[in-house]
Amino acid sequence: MDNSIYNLRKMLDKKEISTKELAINYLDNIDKYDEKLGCYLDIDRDNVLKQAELAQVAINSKDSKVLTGIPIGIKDNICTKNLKTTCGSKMLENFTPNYNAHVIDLMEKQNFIMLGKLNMDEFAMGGTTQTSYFKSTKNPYNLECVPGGSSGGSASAVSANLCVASLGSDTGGSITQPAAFCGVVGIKPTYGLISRYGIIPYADSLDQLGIITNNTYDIGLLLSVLSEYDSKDETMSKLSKIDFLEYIDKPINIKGLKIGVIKDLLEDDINQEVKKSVESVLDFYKSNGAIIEEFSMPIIRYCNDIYAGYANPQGVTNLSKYDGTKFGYKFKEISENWDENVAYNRTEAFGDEVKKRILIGMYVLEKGYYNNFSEFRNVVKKQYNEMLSKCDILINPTTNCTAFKINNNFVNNTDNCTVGACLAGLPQLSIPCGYNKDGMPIGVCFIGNYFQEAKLLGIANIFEKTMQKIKPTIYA
Amino acid sequence: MDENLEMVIGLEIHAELQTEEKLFCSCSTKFGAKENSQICPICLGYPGALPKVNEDAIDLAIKAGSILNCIINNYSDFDRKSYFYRDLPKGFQITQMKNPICENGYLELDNGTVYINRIHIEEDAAKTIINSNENKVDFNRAGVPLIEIVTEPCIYSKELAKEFVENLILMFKYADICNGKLEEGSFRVDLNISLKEKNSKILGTRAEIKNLSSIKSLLKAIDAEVERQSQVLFLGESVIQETRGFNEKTGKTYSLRNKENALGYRYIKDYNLNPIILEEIYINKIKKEIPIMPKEKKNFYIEKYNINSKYADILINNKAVSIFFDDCLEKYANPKLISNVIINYLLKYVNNNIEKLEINIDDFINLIKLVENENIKKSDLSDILFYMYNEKISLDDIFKNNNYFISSNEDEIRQIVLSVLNENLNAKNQYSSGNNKIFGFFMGECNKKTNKKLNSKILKNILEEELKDNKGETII
Ligand SMILES: [Zn+2]
Repeated sequence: MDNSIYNLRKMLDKKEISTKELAINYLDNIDKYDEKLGCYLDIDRDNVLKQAELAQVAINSKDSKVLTGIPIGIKDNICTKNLKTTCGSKMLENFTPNYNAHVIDLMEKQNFIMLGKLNMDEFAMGGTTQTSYFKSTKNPYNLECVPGGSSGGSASAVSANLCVASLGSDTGGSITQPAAFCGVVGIKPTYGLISRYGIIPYADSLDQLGIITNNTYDIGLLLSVLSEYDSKDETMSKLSKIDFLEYIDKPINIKGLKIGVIKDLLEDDINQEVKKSVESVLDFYKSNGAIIEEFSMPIIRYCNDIYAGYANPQGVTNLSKYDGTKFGYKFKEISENWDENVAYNRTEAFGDEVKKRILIGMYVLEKGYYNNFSEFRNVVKKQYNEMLSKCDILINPTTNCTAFKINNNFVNNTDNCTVGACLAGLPQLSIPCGYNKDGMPIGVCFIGNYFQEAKLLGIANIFEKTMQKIKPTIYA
Repeated sequence: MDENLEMVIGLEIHAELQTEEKLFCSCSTKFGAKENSQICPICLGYPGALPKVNEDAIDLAIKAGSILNCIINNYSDFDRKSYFYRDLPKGFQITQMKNPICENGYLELDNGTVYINRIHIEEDAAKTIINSNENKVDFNRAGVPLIEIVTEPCIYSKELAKEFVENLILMFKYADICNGKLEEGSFRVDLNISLKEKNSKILGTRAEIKNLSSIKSLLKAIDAEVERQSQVLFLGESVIQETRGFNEKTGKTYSLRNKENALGYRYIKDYNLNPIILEEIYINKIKKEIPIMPKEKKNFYIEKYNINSKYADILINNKAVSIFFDDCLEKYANPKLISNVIINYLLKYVNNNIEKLEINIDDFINLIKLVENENIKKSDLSDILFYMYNEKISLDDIFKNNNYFISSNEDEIRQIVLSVLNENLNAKNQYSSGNNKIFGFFMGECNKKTNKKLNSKILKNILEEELKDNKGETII
């Protein structure tokens, strides 16, 4: 647990290490490994050192907070004042916002160190971090494999220790899937727990900020900082303060705990090693006194399609503002006609995956199918809510396979285990639960009821303690 | 027009709401500011910025709905209406398509009843400034709150259309909903017009005429479009459903090439904004804030103050004037004289568009009292009010520099009369010999004799007295 917020906090406060040493240590790691990994899009070194100095002042005056001096990476769809925010797209190649996302403001108040901006699938559309306009991000356990996505830069960077923790975003599995592929811990909190202000949207009713760390405890620490109420986001829930570490500090009793399993997810189209690994997690809890409850959920097989028909129409409208005249993109006038100019520049600046999803979204909207998909989404939500009324949490594989080869044709199905809970707006947490015979990480996913993040962390933490982690091969 | 045909009109009216701030951000809505000086990431549609609804706009929409006898919905929400245009920063307009805030209203007028289909809240687009050499966009207007009032196709005469629009503007001014300035674009009227066979319930195909900048153009456009459509029908052709413009110079409507309609508007719910939930108690509270409406006020003037209908109309037709009248009456209760002086003397200086009648009310009341006591001639009121209202000179100073005061001192007047009679013995003799017409000559000479204003009643009496006396003397 050396590269954890928990540990570094202690070291920094005891002055065993200075913020500058720590920051330089991470900059060195980035220098050494990121050329191979392709996690970072933009690093402002001078600013990193400046932030470290400020953090040290706070520590010296015994004014340190949870994140003071902690080096963190930020997914590039989270707006950072004075630092380019590209969404991995040519369309935003030179876009530097003059405002911060609310979560950045919250962390700046604590004098965190922003190492830089992390690569992602273009406009968070993709599950491989290969659709970025700028670079391809690799998996630290096998450089020939994808890190997952869309928050692939965030997961790969934490996994390879190019930052202590990272922020990402999740719409249909963009946190949990790359966390599983890269052998790290990732949480997509309940929709409405964390302000979305300044996070460039994909589908507004599903998007949520996500966190990637090395352990569940750090997730709890970050949630406590990031869930501060923001009046700028109407959809944020007004909650009384939650103690996210409640069930880690005072371990939860597994005995009698009801764990639900959607058996459809373990039945079809799943890699056998993944299945075995997740079953061993279930066995662990069972042997500690938990009761396993099996559920059947046939609609889970269609959740990817429901997601496509539900998220992409929203995505289409969110991408409409990119007409090429704004946000740092250099507009090229090819015609007297406005529409033709817009069409030309959008064609130039959007990548294939984005175009594909625009077409899907347009088709659904033009055909008038959107309400149907919205209804399907409600059905999925209702079924999850029913299951969670009968058990404490659900456990399932985070993905049905491990990270695949980059030039392998992208299997569209790697989100099938997580997308359902995303549609339901539920919190989900992925932690590593093993490795396949090639040493590639496997993730297990914990899904809880709304705003039950603390419980998820507590339950997952018990297994996490027993888990023998293997360092990424990049360090071998 | 063919005698068997009749026109059917529906109106779509966009009224800018008089809120301090824009609909979804805190930028000012003030008209006439420097180009692009009232903008922020939210109203410019910057990536990641989130809208937050301005509750003042909701209150004004409730008031508008209430004035038009609408049902105020307990649930309404926002949708995105998508199209590409350079004045639309997000590529969609936030509006209320599916669930508008108000529905099913009506307004009873002298020329008939106008039925209201719906009122919904939406944001205004930016303003395109087209010069000969460049196209600029001023985003100050982007995000200014609007309500759109949609009537049923139920208006069968120009008179009713005119009366409806005029009344709507006046009522909105009274309730501070909208300043009703057609020339500034804060109140915009679109006309839907079609011809149908009399006695038939089936409506003809309609054309929509946009951008009518005055009531005059509205009426002209109705004539022009009725003419055009009857021509089309006469020739055995069919009217095309389309959007047309109105050319003030030629007095004709013309087809607007409307590419944006090639695709639908792809309405989709805006998930960033919470639904507007209105409790009955709240709606009633807002309704209670609506001041007395012009029609009720007119009746009140007639009944309570015994003012004739024509005068009452003049007073209520300008909100500023009616407020001034009310304020005067609070200070001095002579409604007859006050209304008379306002209407016959003051109003010729007053511009119809004023928001407040700027005149020193205490001076004005003092003036009224002087007129009432016949200390001042009514014929001087025009001049005095010119100095008071146009030149903003105080009543004291006006009297210092001019002689408007009437002398009622009988001794003084008798002195003047005697001296005039003595100086004009010839004329006196003519009068004595029966030339009564010469009386006016004496009056004039008396007034010329002094720079004071003489009370004409007293002057007349004394003059008559003295001439009578003289008569006797001559005879003897
Ligand atoms: Zn603004």
